Amino acid sequence: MTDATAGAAAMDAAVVDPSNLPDDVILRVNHLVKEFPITKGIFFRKQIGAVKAVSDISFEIKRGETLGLVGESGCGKSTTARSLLRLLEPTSGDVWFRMEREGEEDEIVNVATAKKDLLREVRRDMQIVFQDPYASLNPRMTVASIIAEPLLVHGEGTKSERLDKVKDLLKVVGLSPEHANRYPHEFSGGQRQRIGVARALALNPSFMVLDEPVSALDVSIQAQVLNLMDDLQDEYGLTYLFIAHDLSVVRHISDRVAVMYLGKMVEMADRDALYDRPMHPYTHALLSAVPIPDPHIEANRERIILEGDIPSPANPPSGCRFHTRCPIAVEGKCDVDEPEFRELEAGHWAACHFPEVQQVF
Amino acid sequence: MSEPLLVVDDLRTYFSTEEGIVRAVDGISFTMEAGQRLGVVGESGSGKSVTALSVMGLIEPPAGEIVTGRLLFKGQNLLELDEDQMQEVRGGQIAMIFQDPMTALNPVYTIGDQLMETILLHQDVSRSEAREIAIQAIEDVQIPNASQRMMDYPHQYSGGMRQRIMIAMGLSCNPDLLIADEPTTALDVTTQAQIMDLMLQLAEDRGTAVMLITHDLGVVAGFCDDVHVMYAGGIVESGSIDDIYYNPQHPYTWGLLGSMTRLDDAQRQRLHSVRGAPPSVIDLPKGCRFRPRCDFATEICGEVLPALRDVGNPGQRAACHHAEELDLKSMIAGDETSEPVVSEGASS
Repeated sequence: MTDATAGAAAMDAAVVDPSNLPDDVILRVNHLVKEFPITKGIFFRKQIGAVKAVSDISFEIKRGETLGLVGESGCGKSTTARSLLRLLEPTSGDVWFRMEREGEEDEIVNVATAKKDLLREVRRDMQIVFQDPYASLNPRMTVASIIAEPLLVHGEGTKSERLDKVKDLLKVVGLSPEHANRYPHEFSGGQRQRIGVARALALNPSFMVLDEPVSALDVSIQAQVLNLMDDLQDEYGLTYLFIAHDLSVVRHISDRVAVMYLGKMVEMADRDALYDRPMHPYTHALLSAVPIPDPHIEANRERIILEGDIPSPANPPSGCRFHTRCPIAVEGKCDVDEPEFRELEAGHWAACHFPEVQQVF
Repeated sequence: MSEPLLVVDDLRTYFSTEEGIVRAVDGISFTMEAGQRLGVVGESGSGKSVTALSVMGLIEPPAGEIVTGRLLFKGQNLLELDEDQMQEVRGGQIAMIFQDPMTALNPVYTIGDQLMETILLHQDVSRSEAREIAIQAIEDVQIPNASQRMMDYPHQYSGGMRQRIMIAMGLSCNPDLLIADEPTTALDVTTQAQIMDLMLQLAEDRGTAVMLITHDLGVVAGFCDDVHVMYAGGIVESGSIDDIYYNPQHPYTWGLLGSMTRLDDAQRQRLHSVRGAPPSVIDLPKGCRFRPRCDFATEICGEVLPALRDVGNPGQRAACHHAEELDLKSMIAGDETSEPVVSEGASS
């Protein structure tokens, strides 16, 4: 099993020695599972089932890249993000994260099992920006105290040093340092999202989860925030996990893209490979459904209209989870055997029994 | 020449709040022809939804008030109708679909009851006839087991199915005009494709005019004939979809197009975003409302509110002092490639 760390088998937890994490990989997720119990009764809360929000996914993120994670509501993309920061306790699986400290050797931490002190330490490097800029900022705190809070929690600097840092951060995200003493309600949605970004940057993280950071914003403001994220990545060498349901936004920002459906990863590839040559029928349908702001192209596009709705993750279909809506499903195969998530071309992974390169445009 | 279906003439709808008067819609005029599919595009607070609510007679005094204007629907001024007469028009001749299908349906009545209520209100039919019409309406929106599903409650339907029911309800009385206010914003992209496909098919079959209100220029590109772009309570540009997407005359339209990420954009160019944020509609800037965010503003823009006037292609209008001097078209990124590259049958 010595060569197992290379290539396809590198995804398998059982054979991975975390100290062999390639230098360019910052995060590796192995067989991550997150289930939410369904309970019955008021007193005994007997468990009668489980919603398998994330069921057995593995992937890695390279240092400095942006991995886009897309899927429709309920596919498990946000649960994945929260589990790997351990904002939710994973049911099983490993999340190996490379913790970099100046002048020291990198430490590989399993976030999924890390004890409290270590978890706190590793979280300096892993930050998150939330979707709703209205709900994610405490309305009773000034902008300065919101942005300085992570510094305070980690005992960094004196009060005046923290304030200087806050002013720097405000400038970095395109706000004025004079805004430090205002409250969140005095800002527009786009400005609030900038405050959320400044807070995430406060501890100089190496990795940021961006959970639908622009979906609550108007188009013209969306573009400003996307440009900001691009600039920050260039400036600080950040690694992003960018979660969104908007496939156009994800194409714009990502280097690689992973597609989820009902708690499973169905396809993962380099950005252009995924958008121009998708191999999984779900990815193909998803891409064909996204409108393009160009009347000539729209007039000539062929849409694949999927039938029905997404099944309940509490009771997912047998075999391939997509077979109930799949235009190319084969009876006796797709409804029985679960397809393996395998590497079909270099760097292009898909979980389908009958993968075929499709043309979208 | 036949009479237009809808004439909106200098509509002004204001709301009074503690902070001041909100001029949500401030002097817009346009016409709609029978069977036309019109997109009304704008960002939050641009006044697009208030325009729709004004046409539907759903602005409730004293909070909101239509201050001036005429709304001629088939020659009749809707603003002069009393509540009973308006009730006849609303739901009967003009129907509306809302963004959130869950809040638009009553959770304690079955889908069938709610559909039949609309039909009985507007058509002179018996209960059993109304039932037949309702079942047909559900079948028309491609929901299987229609007679069975009549007895279900809204919570037993998924989001996409509920929006289908809203469409069924809207179209059950064969209206001349359907106003759809962000009908797919709350839905996933594959469901959105289903719903837009269905709406297009039904509108074409029946010749229903549709006013599609949305922030999504992508949805408009595949559905509408013509577009109005709204900004801070006014229409800043209007024209056919080709005019707006390939030959924008107003800097805001141009900025909006440049701000959009595109699924087919392989180049990953920097988005040329519009700086700043829309003005407060309580405290509008003097002159052109877009001036504080405009890259091309001059002195006159700060003084005179530009009127919507003919500029660009025939039939196209824009409200910009400098429309002629600006060659916005040539500044659209990747304009050369806007001719579609279609690979026929490639997806087989």
